[in-house]
Amino acid sequence: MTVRRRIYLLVALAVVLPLMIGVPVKCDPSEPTLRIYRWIESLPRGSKVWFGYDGWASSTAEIAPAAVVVARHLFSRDCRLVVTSTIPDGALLMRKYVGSVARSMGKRYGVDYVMLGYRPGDMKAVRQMSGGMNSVFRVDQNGTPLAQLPLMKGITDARSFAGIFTATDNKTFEYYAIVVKTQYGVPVYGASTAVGVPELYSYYNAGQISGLLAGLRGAAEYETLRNEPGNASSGMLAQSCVHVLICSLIVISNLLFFWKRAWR
Amino acid sequence: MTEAYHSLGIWIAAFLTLCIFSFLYKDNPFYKFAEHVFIGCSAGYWMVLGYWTMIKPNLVDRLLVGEWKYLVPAVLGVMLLLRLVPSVSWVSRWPICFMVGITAGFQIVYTMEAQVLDQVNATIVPLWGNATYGQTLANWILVVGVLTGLIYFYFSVEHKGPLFGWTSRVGIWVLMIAFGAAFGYTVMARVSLLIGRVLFFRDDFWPVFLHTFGK
Repeated sequence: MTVRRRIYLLVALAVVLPLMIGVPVKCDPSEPTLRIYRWIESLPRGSKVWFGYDGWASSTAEIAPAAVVVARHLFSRDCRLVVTSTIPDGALLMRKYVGSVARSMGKRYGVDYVMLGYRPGDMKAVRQMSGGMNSVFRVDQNGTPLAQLPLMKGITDARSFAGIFTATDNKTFEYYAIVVKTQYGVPVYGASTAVGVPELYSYYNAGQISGLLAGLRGAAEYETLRNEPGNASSGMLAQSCVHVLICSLIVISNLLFFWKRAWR
Repeated sequence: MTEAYHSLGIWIAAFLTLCIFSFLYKDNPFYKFAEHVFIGCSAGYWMVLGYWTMIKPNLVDRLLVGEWKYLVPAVLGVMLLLRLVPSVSWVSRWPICFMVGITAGFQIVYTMEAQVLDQVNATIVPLWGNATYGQTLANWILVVGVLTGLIYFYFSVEHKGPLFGWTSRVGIWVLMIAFGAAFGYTVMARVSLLIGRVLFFRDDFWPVFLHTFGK
């Protein structure tokens, strides 16, 4: 067996065994996570929140747990969600995750939440939507005209919302920060895949992003805050095991490298 | 019947996941099969979604109610497709120019504000007199990191001597630390995807597997 295959096997074991044990890990919340929590706690009942499910299906494992736990928190505060997506897959995934949370909490479609679906155009789509949902979407995802949806009444532009939350694995988070925060001053919050987090921290430090859930870890922190252990919390033990394994492999291979060089 | 379809979907998802993972051993027909199925399904899904969410509501429906100004994007779209006809493919450059011009003009305004001015503003921080020593240290690291990083990318002067030589070397260290942090996050992201697949097997596939075999 080659070294590469042995490493694959070790990584597989480091993931599978902890998940078979199934012990959820509590994570101390970081400041970017706490900010989202405090923001939602401070929202008046009935606030309208723009919820973007802007992730591809391939990133579901990372962003869906965050989307679910934040949607549940928002609905528990009686916030009303307008759900959109700038990603084709998001149109389906928003039904599966945000929609299922709404139904399980007894929320009424059209009154407590609306799903407008997918809008192509990336940054231009965000610009258009922030200028007015009614001019972009004529009907919702089910084909119902927006005029017939009570929640959509009174929504003019992005300022009609108390804030934006996006669950994303791409540049959409930046587009919200660049367009909506800059032009309308509406606070932007969200969850991102871990790959995008280093870049997003520059926006966070500059105040253009008000709160951030960093990958699966961020979702696990939020689940800890809400005391609702879910997939993110149960995945953190496996995550920690793999990190320990990879750090060990890096240290061992470096030590071997220097030992071999000294031996020669 | 719905439950049967659900079970079938779970079985197919599990089979395709294992097909993809089989590449870790070596390239094989199962992996290739899963790869082709993925590409074919994605193309079909995007094509259908593109028509029903883009072309129909934004073009067809608007033309049907007499909004004739939408003939302009329709014509531009047809011109773009002429790229597939070699003899008149040059026509497609016009809509491409239009798109590049619109996108550049659109992005310059926001980029200047959000990615230049606001970011520069965020680096202007007090270097002393902060509430905590930790904050002071963080501000120093921020300012020194930005300046040395910028000096490293300043190639008009040779990187020698105390000013440009040493500071650009510090800049390299800053960049390396940033790359290390980015790599750490990337590892976390990739492991999360693997965790997602294992959770699928544990929470979705395993109950269906037991149900299928009557346990």
